Amino acid sequence: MKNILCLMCFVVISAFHGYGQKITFSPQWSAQSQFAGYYAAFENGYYAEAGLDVSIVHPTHSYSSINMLKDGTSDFITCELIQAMMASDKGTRLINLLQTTQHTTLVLISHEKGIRLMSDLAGRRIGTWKAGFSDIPYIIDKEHNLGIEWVKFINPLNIYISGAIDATLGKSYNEGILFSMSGITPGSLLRFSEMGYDYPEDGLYVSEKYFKKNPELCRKFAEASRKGWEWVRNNRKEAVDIVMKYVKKENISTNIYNQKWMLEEVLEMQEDIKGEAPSFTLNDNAFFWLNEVLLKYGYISKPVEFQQLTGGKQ
Amino acid sequence: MKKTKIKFRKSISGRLMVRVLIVSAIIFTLTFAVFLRMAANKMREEAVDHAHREMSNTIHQIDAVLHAVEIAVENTAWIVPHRLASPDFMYAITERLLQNNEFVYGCAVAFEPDYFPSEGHYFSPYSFRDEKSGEIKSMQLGNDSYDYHYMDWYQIPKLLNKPYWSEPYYDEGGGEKMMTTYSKPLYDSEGKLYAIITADLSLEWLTELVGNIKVFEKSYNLMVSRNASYIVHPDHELILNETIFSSTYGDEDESLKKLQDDIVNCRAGEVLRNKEGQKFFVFYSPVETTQWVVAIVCPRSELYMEVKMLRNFLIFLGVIALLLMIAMNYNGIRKVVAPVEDFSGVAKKIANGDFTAELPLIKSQDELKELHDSFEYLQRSLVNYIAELKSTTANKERIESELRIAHNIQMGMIPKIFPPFPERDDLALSAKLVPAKEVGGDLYDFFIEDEKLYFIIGDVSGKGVPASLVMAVACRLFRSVASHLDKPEEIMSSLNDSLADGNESGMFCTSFLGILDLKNGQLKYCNAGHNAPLIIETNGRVLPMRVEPNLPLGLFEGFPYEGQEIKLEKQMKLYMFTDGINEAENNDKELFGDDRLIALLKLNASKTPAEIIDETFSEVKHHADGAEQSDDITVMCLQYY
Repeated sequence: MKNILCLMCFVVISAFHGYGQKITFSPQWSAQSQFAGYYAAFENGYYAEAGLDVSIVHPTHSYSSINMLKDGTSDFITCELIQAMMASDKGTRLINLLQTTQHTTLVLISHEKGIRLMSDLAGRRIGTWKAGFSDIPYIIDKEHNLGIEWVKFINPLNIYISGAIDATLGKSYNEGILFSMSGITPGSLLRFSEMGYDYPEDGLYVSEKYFKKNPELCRKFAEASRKGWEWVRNNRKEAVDIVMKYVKKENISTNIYNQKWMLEEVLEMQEDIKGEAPSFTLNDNAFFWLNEVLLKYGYISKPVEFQQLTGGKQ
Repeated sequence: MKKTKIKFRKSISGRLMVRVLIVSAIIFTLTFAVFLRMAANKMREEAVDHAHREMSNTIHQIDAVLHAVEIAVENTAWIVPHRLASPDFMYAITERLLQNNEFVYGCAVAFEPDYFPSEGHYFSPYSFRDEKSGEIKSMQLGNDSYDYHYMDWYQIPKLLNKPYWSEPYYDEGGGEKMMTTYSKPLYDSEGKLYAIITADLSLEWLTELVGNIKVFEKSYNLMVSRNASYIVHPDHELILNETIFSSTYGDEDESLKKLQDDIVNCRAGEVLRNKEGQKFFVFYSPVETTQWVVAIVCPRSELYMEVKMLRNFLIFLGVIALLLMIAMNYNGIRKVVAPVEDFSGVAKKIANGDFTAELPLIKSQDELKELHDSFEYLQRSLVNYIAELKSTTANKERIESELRIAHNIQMGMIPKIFPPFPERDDLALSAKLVPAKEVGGDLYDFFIEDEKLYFIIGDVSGKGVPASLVMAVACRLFRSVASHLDKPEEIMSSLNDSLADGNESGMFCTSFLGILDLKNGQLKYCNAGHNAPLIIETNGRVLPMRVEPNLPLGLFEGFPYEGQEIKLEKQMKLYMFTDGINEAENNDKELFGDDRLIALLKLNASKTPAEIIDETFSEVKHHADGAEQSDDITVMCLQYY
């Protein structure tokens, strides 16, 4: 009798604690508002409601989320579309479950005023992340033979302030805000989308193998994550508080103002058309353009199939 | 006389005091305001100087420490190129730097990738002080997880080709201490960079040093790095997490812009900032070596605390001064103004008839003395005037009395008992004379002799006593002359001659004189410039009597008056009147007029002479509507049966 009671208690407690399929999720960078939707889905219990026991594990600067997927540390990751396409080309076939950024957030910040195109900085020193995210600027450099000296960094702020580089690449939601908060008034701040290079960035991915094995689980995770993002859109202040909880846990040097403005920018970039509710789906036009460009410059060896990348859902 | 109590606010002394108070208060306030403004500016200048002096001292101390680190690196760096043949010796170099410089926390000689093929891609000997034991320990710093080639302390001096102080950071292996690293690039004989030598400096002392600057009671100090991150702040949560501009992101104001500009360009200065409704002064000064900025934040209220105290003291002083002014001046003003109240009492006595009331004694030679003299003059004038008035009034009363007597005499001269001939049934006669003043110049008279009715109506030119005298003469003459003559023109000529004789004043008398033969109704008459009488016929028609104008009596002696004759039908009425009737005016100067008179008579044609006269006077009174009677009014009406 005693054993039966114990078993019943276990079942009940397990149900309340959301004990279900254990999965690990890794965003592509350290904790910040860029991933607010996933944190919110976890904190609001959307994952638990879907029967998912999610662990959120952040990558390091030198070991990307794709690496974590490859080595099996993570089941679900976020990464940029270009990274996903390149990984798929190299054999780690990924499935896009959710497209959370419809536009490129890449910006070019320079000391010099009046910069309108990358070609205005031909032969100059431009900072770029050691971790990547700069493939399109590299392609532009090659395409136009600009002879840019790319300086890789982990963090662009101090290297830019020191004057060691003429300009730096940045993300609108990150450096675009951080620089200003550091008292920097850039000579020019140019969005790549304004230069004619607008393509989707962040998405939620899973390996094709995992997807085929657990399609329902993937659907549930994507749905709960989407619900998380939708909640964030309607509860921005509370969302920032959740982000700050993760920031403190991960010991990230930032502040609530930075995360607040970052969230605003991230949410704006989620919208296909400004002001409209996000679709969270991948746009095939931009996808085909990227396929062409990446193929031309050898970033991929063959076109990545849209149907394959989206798991046949689009 | 009872003295009226005047309220303070309405009294001269009260108003004078209030005015003096207001003017004094304005002068005090303006003076104090200017003084306070100057004091505030001076205090602000002193505060700025004081703050910058304190910051300058602190910055010198910081510079001294930083300089010591730079020297330590310089003194060690020269050994490196001599020992490149034995990479492991680098550990000895880093250890030696720590041994010789207690203030240095760690030291590294970080080489370019694959510089020593034997040591691999990463080679960065690093020595540091163990937190627990205090011993100097060494290790190789670089690996795949910590690619130092991309760290600021390595990359920036490499790119800049010059030594570099890193922005402060939390050292993950050093007990979460805030550190900064001084990096110096090392070049081979060909000028090619091969390594960066560094010295780490713990910044705990910095927090203490900057935190201990005490310029103002409620001020606090902070320090920001080149990227505006707080490296010293009373709220430790903000250190390396927030920048001085985080909370104002998106805001645009001049003070923020200046602060940003000064920090970026390494300039000292001060701005006034508004945070959560409170104003703060931020004084700041840069550490040139690292371009960090030391700042003192002081609530504006604190800075101006002394000014505020001074202001309160001045307000207190001002109020006391004003109160003293009131106390000292009020009695003085009261004394000056007191005679005015005495004069007021005298004025009331004068008003009540006491013209000789005693005036207050004024010894001064000022406006009050003038007022005293004026009152004295007023009293004298009033006494004289009243004496004259008494005399005049007595004379007037006497004249009025005489006029009353004259009125009675005049009224006694004309028949006033109606009907005058009650025994006769062939004649009805009535007359009425109302003088405009006590005595007048109108007249009427009648008598019967030998069955003939002699009658006259007249109007002497002018009014009052002169006219009444002429009227009296005319009446007497009519009585005495008429009884001897039987023709109206003769009577009229006789009257004219008598009146014209010695008539130097040029007065005259219009008259209508008639002799009615009561036996046959034959009327002889003569007109001397008088209004033509009206005949009221039995059928109600009213016609003016046809009269020769002739001249009024008294103008030309010997004037040949022409008589006329008419036969009165039985029941016909003869209506005679003076111009006081038709020329009676109302308030709008509108005359009663002949037409109105004729209409009146037509309306009352059937009435008796007495009734017609009453109706006439009633209608004239109604027309005058309260307007003063300007001329004597006389009406005589007879009816022959």
